[in-house]
Amino acid sequence: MHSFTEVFRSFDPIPVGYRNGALVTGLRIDGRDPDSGELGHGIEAQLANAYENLRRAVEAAGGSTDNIGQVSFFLADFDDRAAINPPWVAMFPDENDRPTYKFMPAPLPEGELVQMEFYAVLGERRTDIHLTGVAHANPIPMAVRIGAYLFSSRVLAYDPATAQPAEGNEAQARFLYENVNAVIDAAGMSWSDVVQGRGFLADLAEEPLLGGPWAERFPDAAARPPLHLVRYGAGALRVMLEIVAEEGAGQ
Amino acid sequence: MSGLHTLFEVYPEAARATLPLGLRVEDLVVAGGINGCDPETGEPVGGLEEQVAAAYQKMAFLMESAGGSLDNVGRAVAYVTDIEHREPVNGQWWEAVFPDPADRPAYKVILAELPPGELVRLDFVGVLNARRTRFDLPGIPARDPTVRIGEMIFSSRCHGIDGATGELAPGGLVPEAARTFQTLRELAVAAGGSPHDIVQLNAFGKTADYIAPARAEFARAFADIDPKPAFNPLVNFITPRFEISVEMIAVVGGQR
Repeated sequence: MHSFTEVFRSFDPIPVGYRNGALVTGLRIDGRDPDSGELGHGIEAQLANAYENLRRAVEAAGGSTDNIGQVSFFLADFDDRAAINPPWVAMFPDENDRPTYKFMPAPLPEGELVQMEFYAVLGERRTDIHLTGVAHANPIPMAVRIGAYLFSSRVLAYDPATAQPAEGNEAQARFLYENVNAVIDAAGMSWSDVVQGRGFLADLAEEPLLGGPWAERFPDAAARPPLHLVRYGAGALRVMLEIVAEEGAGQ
Repeated sequence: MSGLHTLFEVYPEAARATLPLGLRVEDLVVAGGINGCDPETGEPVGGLEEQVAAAYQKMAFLMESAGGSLDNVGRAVAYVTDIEHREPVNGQWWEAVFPDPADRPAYKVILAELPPGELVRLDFVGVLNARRTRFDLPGIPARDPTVRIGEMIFSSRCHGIDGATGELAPGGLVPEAARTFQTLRELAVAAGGSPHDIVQLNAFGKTADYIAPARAEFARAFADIDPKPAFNPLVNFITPRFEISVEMIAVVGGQR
């Protein structure tokens, strides 16, 4: 059994994270001033606070921002997403040494504009994974390997030959799984190491696009890792997939 | 999967819900900030009773989605905004979910500032493939129990009552703190672990004045333990006749 502790900040009796062995999970890192607890005014102020809360949470758990593998941003107003990047690049200036992230619209408590969650692995250093011809416009790698873990971004359904979204839903799903495959290969892992999938579909009625290939890769339904589907589209992209893998999970 | 390498988030059933309810890591299920709000709209579902019921339902749903049940919950914390709200949350509503006093999770209900309209938040830790067992020390009353589940030991908030006399250790904060730390060490042993297994202590007092003396007493009481448990002193509600109460998390074999 691993060690287990909660992560606190000074003004708040509610923990903002948990450490389970080397793995740190940050929860509901919000836009409150890290000292006074006051909610910042506007998205820039709340993001500045949230980034500082992120740094303090991982440090309170015994690590540093070097140990962060993946961050999720939840936004009350999805139009605020462009504001994520300037402080992101300031915190992670080296383009070859960044965590990956995703952002999602979410119903947040009144007044709150942003919350973050994160995964970090203590005592380990991240390695960024980039794919040729499949790159985010945002300043993030396609995936991060850190310690025994692999955290992907929302992998893009791009055709690497054109560096553009593949045409048609079926083709997008095919390229998407090939690109996830390339991420897993680059991490030195295999599909049997995958412990979670999160699928993003412009139309949830298209579930078989993601669920079908997922089931093919894990034919034993009892041992199949969970694939959680959520409605989300980005421009021409109809399907995306985010995975977490842990080396040795399938053994 | 073998259960040795498992990591996934659990989401509400609602299709538009994007925030995870909690996380399974190996056999551990952890959830923070579970609220009494509709997962799609984020709106509180009603008054205190409705919100608490919704939060408890999310706890049950999360445990079942993670592969267990409420039988696997080891420890829970509820946060309320008003001292008058503590009792039904700590008492009758909780007891309705866990009717057997011999088989309840460790629990506490404390105060927190919550977003407007929200009246309760819930954190909990569950351990799959394990069943909780309650441990008591002779002469020391405990409304909320200390439990062992799997390799984890969770105390509820303990206080300075001396089991030999049945009385609160006389002399105020420092003797109470000394007795409380001793009680927690004894509980760790009673539950089949040792003081070396204690990974975290959360202390509670009425004002920040208790923190420095409590920290000094913690250093004395755990002078023989290395590495030391994390010590988090908080200012919050405690039973008025006590100067300090402390809860522990221990992982048998985890710290060594």
